Amino acid sequence: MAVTTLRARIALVLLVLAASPIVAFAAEQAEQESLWDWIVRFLVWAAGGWHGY
Amino acid sequence: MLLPAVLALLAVPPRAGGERSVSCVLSPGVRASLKHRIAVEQETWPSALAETRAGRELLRLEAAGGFRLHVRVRETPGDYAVCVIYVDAGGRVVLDGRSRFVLAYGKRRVESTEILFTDSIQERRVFSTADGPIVLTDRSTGYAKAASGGYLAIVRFPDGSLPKGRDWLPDMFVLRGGDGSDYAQS
Repeated sequence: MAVTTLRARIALVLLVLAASPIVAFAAEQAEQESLWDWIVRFLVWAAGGWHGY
Repeated sequence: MLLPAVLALLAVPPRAGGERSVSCVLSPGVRASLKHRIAVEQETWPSALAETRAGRELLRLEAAGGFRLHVRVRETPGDYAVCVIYVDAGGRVVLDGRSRFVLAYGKRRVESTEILFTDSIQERRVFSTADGPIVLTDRSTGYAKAASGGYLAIVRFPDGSLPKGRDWLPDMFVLRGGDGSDYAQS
């Protein structure tokens, strides 16, 4: 969906900073999947947020 | 650097907050709430995401089979609204191809054409009332829930039928079954 708000763009930029190092430090596969699930949640939230209601 | 970034992200309230909504009781133990009119910007979406690394990751996940509900909405002309359906213990609602959300704006009525669900926040599957009946109980596990605990439904209306901007919220709405009866009224 539309990325129209400054807030969404800020969130996306912050995700770039936050996502990769966290996943890189997660040694276990299960931990990585869990982290990715959370990151996907943040991404969806930033992209439109309909799962956040 | 990382910790402040995460804290800043968590400190920003989700876009879902602060919006007005309209709710109604569908049946004992079942209620629905219209939350948000979806703004589809088909042309700008891919290019806007491609501007950031995280956005490109989102596009990569989409290409790998995720976010199918997002894709379906973006690529299918229509007006869409987010509706969260809350089902308490013992509650049950069946939605099929004849189920219609009817929104009232004064004397004007706008009738939905399709109700969509997905399987998870990663949206690897899309379920439509056009394809078959969807049964929601408090124990249904096949459909994604929103953060508030209700089932996430995307209601499709004819293209251009919903009022623009903040005026899209109806005065009231009903969920009408295929037999013409009203399930509920707000």
